[in-house]
Amino acid sequence: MSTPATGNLSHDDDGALLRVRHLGVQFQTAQGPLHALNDVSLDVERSRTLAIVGESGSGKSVLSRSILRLLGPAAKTSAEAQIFFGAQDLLRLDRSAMQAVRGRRIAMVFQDPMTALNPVRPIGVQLTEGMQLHLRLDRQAAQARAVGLLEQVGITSPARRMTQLPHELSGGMRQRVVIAMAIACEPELLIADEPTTALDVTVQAEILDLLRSLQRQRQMTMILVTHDLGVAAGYADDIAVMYAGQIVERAPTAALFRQPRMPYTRDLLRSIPRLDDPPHAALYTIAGRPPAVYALSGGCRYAPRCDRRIAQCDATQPGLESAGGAQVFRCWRPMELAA
Amino acid sequence: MRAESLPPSKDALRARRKPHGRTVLRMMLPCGWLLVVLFFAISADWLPMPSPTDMDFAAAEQGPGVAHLLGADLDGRDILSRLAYGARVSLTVSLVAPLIGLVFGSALGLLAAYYSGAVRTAILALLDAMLAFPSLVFALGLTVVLGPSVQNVTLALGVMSIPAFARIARANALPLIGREFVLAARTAGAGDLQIMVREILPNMTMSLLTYALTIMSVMIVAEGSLSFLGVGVPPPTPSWGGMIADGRESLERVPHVSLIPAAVMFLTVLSLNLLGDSLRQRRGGGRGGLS
Amino acid sequence: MNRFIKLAGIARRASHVLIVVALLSVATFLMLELLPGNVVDAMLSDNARPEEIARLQHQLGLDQPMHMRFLGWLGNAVQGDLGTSPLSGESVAGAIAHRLPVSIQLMIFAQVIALLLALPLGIWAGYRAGGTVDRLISGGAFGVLAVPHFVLGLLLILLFAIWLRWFPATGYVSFGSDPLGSIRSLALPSLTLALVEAPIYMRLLRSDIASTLREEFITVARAKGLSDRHILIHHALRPSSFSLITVMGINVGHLIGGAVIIETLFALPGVGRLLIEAITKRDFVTLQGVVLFIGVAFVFVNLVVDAIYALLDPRVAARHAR
Repeated sequence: MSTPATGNLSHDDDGALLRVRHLGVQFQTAQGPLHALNDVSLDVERSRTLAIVGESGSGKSVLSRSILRLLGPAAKTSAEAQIFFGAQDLLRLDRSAMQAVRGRRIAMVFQDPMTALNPVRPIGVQLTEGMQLHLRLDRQAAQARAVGLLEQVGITSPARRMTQLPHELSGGMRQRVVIAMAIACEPELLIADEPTTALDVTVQAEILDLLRSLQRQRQMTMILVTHDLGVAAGYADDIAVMYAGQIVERAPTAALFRQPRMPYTRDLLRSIPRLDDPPHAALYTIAGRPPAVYALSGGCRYAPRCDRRIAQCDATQPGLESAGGAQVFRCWRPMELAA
Repeated sequence: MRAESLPPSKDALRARRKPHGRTVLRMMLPCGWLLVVLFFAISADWLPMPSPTDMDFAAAEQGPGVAHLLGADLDGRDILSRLAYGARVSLTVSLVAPLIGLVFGSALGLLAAYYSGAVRTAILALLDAMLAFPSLVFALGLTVVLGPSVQNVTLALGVMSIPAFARIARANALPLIGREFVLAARTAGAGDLQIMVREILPNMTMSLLTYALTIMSVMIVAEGSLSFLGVGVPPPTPSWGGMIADGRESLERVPHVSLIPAAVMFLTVLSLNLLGDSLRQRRGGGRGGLS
Repeated sequence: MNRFIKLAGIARRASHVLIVVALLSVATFLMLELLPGNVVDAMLSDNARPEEIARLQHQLGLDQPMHMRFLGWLGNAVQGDLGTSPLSGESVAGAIAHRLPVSIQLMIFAQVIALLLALPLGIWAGYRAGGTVDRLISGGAFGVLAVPHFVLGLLLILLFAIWLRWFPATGYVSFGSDPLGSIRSLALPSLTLALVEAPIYMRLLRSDIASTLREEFITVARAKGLSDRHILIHHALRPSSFSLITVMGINVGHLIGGAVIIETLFALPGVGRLLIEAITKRDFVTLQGVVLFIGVAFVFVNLVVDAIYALLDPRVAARHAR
């Protein structure tokens, strides 16, 4: 018997640095309102790495950007939403208060280093401007610090790089610069939105290793947004799985892989090709497509593609249930526990 | 890894195309004004107005009134009548001159895009030289040499516009030339001229026509400038620019002599610009015919 | 290797410029050739005696074969001698030099005023693209654009010179003799010219800023906690200024040759007026020299603009060299 609780979401939990409550985001489009996020509630534990995993369109990027309130004017956040960072509700901050948080207490690493850096300004300036603003350093002090940062992220001849422009660096180096920019002011929370998707496979592991070592050194809390379960497995302490704008399962990494409760998670795990599969084995794919989130249907959103579907699934939306420990899932007919 | 987006439903598409109140204003009013101007230009001979050259000194410098609906100029000539006949000049210039630029400019631009090497260098250098040559001087020079008349003014302004059309034509043709259908035509044995005319040209027309509409208003102003300087269409043919120049000295005393033709020119230019703008917005921004 | 590529690029542009200048000089020279009879006829009365005609022809060098004349003229031009006006007796180069400061002053004032208007308005409209502010500013610019420039000049004269009497309507005072008076005499012409160009600048800037603000690196800058003002000035402005600089460059190039309409309307002794007078008085020697000067100046200004590009955006420099 499971109690319909909010799982690991008690209000006086001092282990959680970030607490998202009932976050809904809607975009105004020409085709009508697009519900990108629907009643998302989430805790991020201090000094741990949470991976948010989902397909394209699941809402994971919208979620990461709404924490820093970087969504454009077309986005509408639900009225009852709250995002607690420490004691403050980020959604209630005025503009200058929010600007004081951005870059300083919460920082973000973006997906595509090609477009994340201003192409006509030298790297050095893009590194120092944040430090000059938040840490009130003068130009020389900021520059010295920037050189140190470049070294920490593994860039060779850092002093020379300061005056270079983004197009003079390779993709991997550019992403290191983006990371250096993000940690420049010693943020408490680092959000990495698909930091390796735009990079070569060979460079991906390096970047992820870099992020992990930086996180450990500084005891930063990290949110790692990715579509790749393998990445989540290797680098995250906790994993939250998103589908069609909702969190459908959340658990510590080991628990998720050992015992997924929500069928979608199980299907995701199944679709990862394994080295010990027989040769020429057909790749497992989940039938169907994620729903267009224009119309919110009443039932579970995964129901049309789920092989464990029952009548109740089409009728009502399941809430997040606790599975014991730190695991929560959203399903009327979760996977059976292994004996 | 782009988010999946579904094609818009038919209802959504229909909703987008319904004309808004503002668009109606932006397209209907300008069309209306231009039609009025066109009407006056065409039917000037038959309208119950005094002749544009009749000087009625008794009524000289009068403001708008019963006898002269828009007033009279310094020599007592009816302003409305002169505006109607002047409209002929303006409309002729604004229709024919861009046509000249369109035809010759597109040809040059297309050639410059299609061929490389000496042909391209020569054409590009020629276009740059034409751009560097002060256009007003060229127009002035031509009218002085060939004699001032509506035809020569039109010719001069038309030639002036050739480099711009050529640039646009070339910019539109270049990406098309690399594409498959050109390659396919060439493999099928089509000659150069055939390819240029049958494959490439049709795809450039929208962009060129939009620009032509845009510079129609520029032509009107240019003709007005020439007349204002006294080197445009010669008397007795009235022209809007000339009328504005006529009233220049007595601006303080009787501003309406200059200001009424100026207002007419302004409204015409504004209407043409609004139409050109709306057309460009509907097409979604100035690319070639293929989206 | 890089330097070699750069040199090759420069050589290519230089040769292009030379070809253009060559074409220009040929065209200018041919202008005179197209009306051989007219030159002499224009300068002498109808019943001039044959000897007078022949003497004038010899004086103008018209009895020599065309290519000799062309080379002679070109040779002189390269050395800075553009001939002497048969009507005024003044050296053409001297006349240009005399009038150039006026035109340049006018151009500088006009561009400065235009930028002072267009930069803040363009940035603001682009920042708030689609909003009420944008619609007002863009609409205003659209309206001003539709007013022909000579009408604009007339309206300004009416308002400021006749009704308010703040500035003189015509006449020019040189900067050296009376700086304040000079600025006053150029106030209305510069304002007119500025109002002709500012709407175009503003629209270009607005459109470029609006599209630059949609780029990812702007979101990144916001994520760093930078203020909107800082982002607009330090991140958005530079990548958005290319169209603006292009058009400014073209305008400056044209304006070195004087603004014919404005100078006529406000009675300023600039290069443009020189041009008109040369045409109406049929002084073709002066006309040739002035046109050549204007054309060459335009070409060189464009070269400078290209160089500025390369400075602002090094990727452009790399592309040019290819």
